[in-house]
Amino acid sequence: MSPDDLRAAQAGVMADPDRLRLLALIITDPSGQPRASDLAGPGGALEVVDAHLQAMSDVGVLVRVGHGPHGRYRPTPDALARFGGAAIGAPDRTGTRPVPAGDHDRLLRRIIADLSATYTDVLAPETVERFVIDSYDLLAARATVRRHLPALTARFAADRLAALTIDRRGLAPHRDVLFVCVRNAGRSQIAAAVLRSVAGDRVRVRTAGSVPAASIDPVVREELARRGLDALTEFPRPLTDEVVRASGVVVTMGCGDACPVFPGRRYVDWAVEDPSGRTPADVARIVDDITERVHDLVRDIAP
Amino acid sequence: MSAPASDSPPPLQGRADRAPGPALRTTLSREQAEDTATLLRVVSDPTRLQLLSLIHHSADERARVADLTRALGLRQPTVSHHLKVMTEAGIVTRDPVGREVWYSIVPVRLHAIADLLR
Repeated sequence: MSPDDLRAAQAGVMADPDRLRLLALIITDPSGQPRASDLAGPGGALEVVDAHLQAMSDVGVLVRVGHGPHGRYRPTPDALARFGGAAIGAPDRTGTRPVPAGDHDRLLRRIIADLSATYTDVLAPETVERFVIDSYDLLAARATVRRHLPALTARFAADRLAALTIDRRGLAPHRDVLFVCVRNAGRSQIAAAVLRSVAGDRVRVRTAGSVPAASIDPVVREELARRGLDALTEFPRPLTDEVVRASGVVVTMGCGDACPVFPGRRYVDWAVEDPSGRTPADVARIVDDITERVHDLVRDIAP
Repeated sequence: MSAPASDSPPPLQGRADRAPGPALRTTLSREQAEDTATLLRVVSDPTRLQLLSLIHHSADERARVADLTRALGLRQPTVSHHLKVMTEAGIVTRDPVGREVWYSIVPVRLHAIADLLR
């Protein structure tokens, strides 16, 4: 399928208000990767939701982790860039006009309203607003393409708020894994993609960079695509305190002292080469190395 | 994958079981959401996406039928037909200048189209 054919097929599948709404719900889901039953809700139309999710997965808008009824769905990097803004802008709870994809202020207000609703009675709307604006600013500081910022902000802020609320209950689920490297464009993305493919429905996987890049290293992306893992990456994110606090296992790869150390977490440092600027053969070797380490980690934390 | 039938499917419920608040957007006006869906439906065609890409990347982000016909190696009626459909859907706009007609992407649609062409 040519890139234009794929885009056309994706547009055709997403030309449905319910699917746009589902994508927006998945992007902002507290778990980052909800199950069909989470999206349908109790007594909801599970078969209808399942059919939508399947159609969206078939064209690479979503990627499924895990099997059976517990399978979870994540937005692919393509979906975030191509349909994220449309999904967040399209649904509207107040009956006003849809927000055009270029209107960041109004899209952010919509994200704030949606996440505030999700966290009613848990977080003050002002806290949600502060996190959304802060997340936008953090991402905008390093973005080379500003167009996708609202969708990335929605995803990043939803994850940070989920981390914050776990933290408030004093828990750091021992299976939550955070991979940190310098740019969050190579090693940590590889590790996350592999772990999500191996145990993505059992382990919550996060990534961050101490000095995040604007996008994933193209050679890394290519090698992960060759292995069918590229859809399981995300965009580079800055390292923030609350995601470290929320993670039971923190795996650092060459980021020195940049990662804050909180008691009660398990810290592991992997001496893995940086794939940045390396040849495809080197990158393949680095992916092999990381894959082996991830399998060892899975045996340890989620046997 | 074909577009869904126009008769209304059952409304979606929301993630009420896991979210502490009313996370549902079931009060969403279906009509409003249709707007974006309509845009996607109209451009869910490789030729239309190619036309939009050409227009988007042309000087001054505008092009004539003859430019598009030549660039894509398509027949003029084919190009004209796609442009007519996209004009009626409010995605491109036609601007007659003397004896020529220039097509450009409607500004409010530009971001959504650019996202899709990424």
